[in-house]
Amino acid sequence: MRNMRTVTILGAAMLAALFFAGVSLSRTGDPHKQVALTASSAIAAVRAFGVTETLSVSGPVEGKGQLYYQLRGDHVSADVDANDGTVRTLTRSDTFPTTAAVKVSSARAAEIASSFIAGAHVPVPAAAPTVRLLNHGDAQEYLAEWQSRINGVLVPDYRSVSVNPATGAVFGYTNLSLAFSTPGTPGITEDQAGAIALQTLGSGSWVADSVDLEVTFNDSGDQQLSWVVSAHDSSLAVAVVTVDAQTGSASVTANG
Amino acid sequence: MPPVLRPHRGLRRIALAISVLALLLSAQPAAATEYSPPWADIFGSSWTNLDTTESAGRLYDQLAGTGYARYKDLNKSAHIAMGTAYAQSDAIWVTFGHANKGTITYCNTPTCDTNTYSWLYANSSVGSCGGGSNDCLANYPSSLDDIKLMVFAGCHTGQDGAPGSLRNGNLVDLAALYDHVDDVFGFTALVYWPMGNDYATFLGTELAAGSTVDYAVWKAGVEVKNRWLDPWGWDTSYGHWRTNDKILPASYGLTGWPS
Repeated sequence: MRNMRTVTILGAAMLAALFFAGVSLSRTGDPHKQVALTASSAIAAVRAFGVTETLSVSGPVEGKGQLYYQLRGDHVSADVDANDGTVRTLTRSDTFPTTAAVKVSSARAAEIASSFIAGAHVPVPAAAPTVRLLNHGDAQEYLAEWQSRINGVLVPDYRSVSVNPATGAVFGYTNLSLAFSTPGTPGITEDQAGAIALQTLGSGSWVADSVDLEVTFNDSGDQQLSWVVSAHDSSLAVAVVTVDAQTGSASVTANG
Repeated sequence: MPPVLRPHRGLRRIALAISVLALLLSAQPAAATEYSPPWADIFGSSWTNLDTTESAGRLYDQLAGTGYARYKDLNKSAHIAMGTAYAQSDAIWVTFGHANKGTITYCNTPTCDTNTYSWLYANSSVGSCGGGSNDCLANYPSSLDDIKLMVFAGCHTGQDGAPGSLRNGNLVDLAALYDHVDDVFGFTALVYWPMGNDYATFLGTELAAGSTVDYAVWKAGVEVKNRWLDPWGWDTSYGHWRTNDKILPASYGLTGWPS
């Protein structure tokens, strides 16, 4: 993953030059949350996607496992990782769907998404993306996604492209990837994780709906292997419990 | 920042008295009321297992400077939220809360005690709304049509509730097609907190920056996805809107649907 990122950065000569000339602005304990990139370098990173309009920069701001700059132009917005220059989001208001019409096939949307990624020199897994048609009511969205797993473990290696189903234009891009080590073997089983999750949720008639093994990061930026358990109770309340796959410690995320 | 409760209530009493007098003099049927500047009500509740008051506060904060008279409404009932001093006088109406298909939930007391909850139902066909502090969108075919932006920020609010129950119907569809709200949005999946707090910030930021409402609602979901490395349901927005509508400059919505 680190090598892939390095290739990406080196692929954009201007960005690379600015990146390596960048001034270290701050340091934290989280290796993902270093600020090595200047604001002007963040703009250069977005230029690699063919964006030509004037952009203003704010931040960096803190996200899970990252610090990022926020960039805004008349029609384009972007988030750029303040450490390694990865363009994490890119959205366009001028190509956003204005109708629920679908005039582009799913297969064509996959081609458009792949071409967009290739044009920006972003490495993706060899497999074709999965494409979903999302119904937003008065508009729809083709969401093409690349999500990697290693030995069945969901890893932070994800990219997506949003395609306008009426015009074929790209209006959104995300790259949620983070550097990670190949995940090991969990110390507790899936069944044990399910039991811990239900015990954490306390009294009631909670039932586990799904369990997935994922690479996650704690607040200090340390990589963890976690069982992520979704559960519901008799009143149809739903919760997600994240169980550390080595220690069994658990935390709950509430739904609305 | 504390909610603007006391001046809010006082102003509303005066405004209500004026509007009641105007109604008596004109002998017109009840309808939406418009004020200058236009009103924006943001609702949140503090359940023990989910506190959405911070979400309401964040959106309230982000709308500063947009020209609306903003109100942060915490732990008020569904019936109050739909009342003449709230939804029926609003240009912007947003609720963050527990929800399901065809309903969104409120607390009725400042401490959000157990058994003091109330529900706003879609209720497109089954008559009574249960009375008391509950309410139904289907009750307001002619008094919400001045709302420009309405958001049901809770789980599954963009999906149809169970036929034959008070949840029958779709909050978003009903608000747009029956109540004639200009721009209305919900979500088709479970949505989670504290991610919802960031959604509120991102939505308010985008709206205040002058983006169209449809783009703002969608883009806020993308920002949650990046911030949390997962959208946590906030990318499943579902809505009806007038193309190119923005909340800027501050104004009420247009009457009637579609444009």
